[in-house]
Amino acid sequence: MSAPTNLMTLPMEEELTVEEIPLSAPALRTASYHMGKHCLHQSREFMLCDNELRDPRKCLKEGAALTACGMDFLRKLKKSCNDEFETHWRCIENKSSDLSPARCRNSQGVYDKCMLDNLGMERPYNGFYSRPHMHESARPQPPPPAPKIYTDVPRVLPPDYPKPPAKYGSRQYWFE
Amino acid sequence: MRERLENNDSRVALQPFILAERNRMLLRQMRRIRDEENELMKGVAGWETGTLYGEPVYHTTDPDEWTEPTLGELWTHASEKNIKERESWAFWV
Repeated sequence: MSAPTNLMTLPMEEELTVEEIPLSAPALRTASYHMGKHCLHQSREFMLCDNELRDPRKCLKEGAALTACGMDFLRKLKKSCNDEFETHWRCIENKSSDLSPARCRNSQGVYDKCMLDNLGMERPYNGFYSRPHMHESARPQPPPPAPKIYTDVPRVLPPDYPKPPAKYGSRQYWFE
Repeated sequence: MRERLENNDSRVALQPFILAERNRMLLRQMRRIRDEENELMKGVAGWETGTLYGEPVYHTTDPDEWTEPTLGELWTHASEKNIKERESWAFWV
């Protein structure tokens, strides 16, 4: 929550320039089921990195690999099943308010069949992405954060300091 | 319920792609505002970028440690119209 100072290292423009996915939400949401399966390893690698290190500057390599994988998938899709895909996402865009494929099962069947026949990609079962999963990464796990040491702790009385009873009784006399 | 699960699947599958692109955009914008501030405040004596005359936002963090900038910090040099558009953007989608 602070504006960048000159002491902060920020990556140069060249490191950040990656071919981005030029698709709008309906097409992306439609393609996401197969795209996530195709780029499963890269997705998990990137999300693990982001969750462990909590620093976008350290996960640029994983992110670039992920976007490259997505572009690769979309190129394959465009080459083989462009018409089926476009029919399906246009249907989803026109027939739903939340981009859900519930009213487009006919076009979805055609699209899924094309994906399976031409690219050998099967639609994952319902709930595949919503489940927790394990991921084995080659990147070493970061060490746990060191315990904090506070130097301005107030001084306390020694344990054997004499504690005589109060001279005039308790102030909270209604408790007695 | 099945449709909600299906929609959630789609969002979960897309999130890494969105996040990767968003991180790159964020870092690019941070460099842009830093360069802009260096250029804008170079005539002011004692000014240090990202601080108030050398007074940092946080004293206890390392200066290179990652802290997420707020929306206002990222859009400081934008016009008021653009800031308002960005702030109300979530209400229109």
